Amino acid sequence: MTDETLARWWQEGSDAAFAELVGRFYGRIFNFLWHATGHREDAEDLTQETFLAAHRSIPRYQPARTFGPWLFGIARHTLADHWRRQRPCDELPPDFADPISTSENAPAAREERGSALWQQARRLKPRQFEALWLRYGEGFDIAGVARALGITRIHAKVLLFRARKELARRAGSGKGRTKGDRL
Amino acid sequence: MMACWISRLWLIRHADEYGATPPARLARHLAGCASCRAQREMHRNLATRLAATASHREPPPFLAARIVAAARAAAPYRRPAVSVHRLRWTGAVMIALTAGLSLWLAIRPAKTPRPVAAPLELAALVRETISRPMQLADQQRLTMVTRSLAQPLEQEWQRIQADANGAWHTLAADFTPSPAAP
Ligand SMILES: [Zn+2]
Repeated sequence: MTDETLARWWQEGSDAAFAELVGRFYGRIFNFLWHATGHREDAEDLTQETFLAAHRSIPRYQPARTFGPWLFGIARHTLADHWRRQRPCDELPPDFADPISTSENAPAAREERGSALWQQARRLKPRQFEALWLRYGEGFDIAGVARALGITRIHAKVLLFRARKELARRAGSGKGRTKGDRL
Repeated sequence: MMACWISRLWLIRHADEYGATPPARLARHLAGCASCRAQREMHRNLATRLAATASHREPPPFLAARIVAAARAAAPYRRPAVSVHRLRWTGAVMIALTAGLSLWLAIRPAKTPRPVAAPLELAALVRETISRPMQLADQQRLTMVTRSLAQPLEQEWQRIQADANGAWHTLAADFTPSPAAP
């Protein structure tokens, strides 16, 4: 049974189809939001908010389109609302502290926060982080990333390119900025 | 040779297709430009590392049930407003049904009277006749119905009467004393 078929049944009022889709996607949405926020409880609440928003929006879903990117698009909007409420000064929560400079660098704590590279990725602009997670965390193709972000494919490629470049620069590899680089 | 800024545009376009060989023009530029080659390698390596280190942790097991319960409590699902797509289909089905009904009405066999109609009519007439004072119109109708039966009975009765008269005359003749006896 495809996600899109279940979504169509959900549109037609099937409670079982909704429950099945929650079962299939709540872990993926939770991981996206957990990596984005760095807070487990926030991620749980935002996962729930995402599905409630999807429940309200399901009449507008077009079954011809892939369901995953549509749902991640809603998760992204939920996350944006969360940032507006939580981060008015664009200040990072404690979990976002640089793992290199923090004393909490034990393996368990690292596991809780994710890899150092992804912690750096979190500190990029939200849109850049989202593009990276959808592409490499979720494994979406460029079309899926574009749909989830509501942008064109070429825009998605540019966004990913810039995100990787900025990440490389921040990671201190020194390879992020080269002579003649104007992009 | 292609300028570096053009090469970067090509890199953006092909950065996510690492398996594929770069287009010939880009490949030629990369072969002769260390800076662009380093850029390409950096993007390729970073993409590989990001994919390899994206950790997925188990979500709390209660979360799915909590979400479903919250959705049920928050807003009992309402069927969506009829979409244009669905409306179009409904219209097509209605037109097809109307056309089919019209065709059937046009070509259906002519209605034949049911054979039970006449006996039922007669039974109703008899019931009416015995349940209320008979009127002139009813008498006429009853006469019409029973005429075929009444005529043979009348003829039979006349024959019986004729026979009885004949027998009476014969008996009377046998038992009557002769008036001319001296
Ligand atoms: Zn170059």
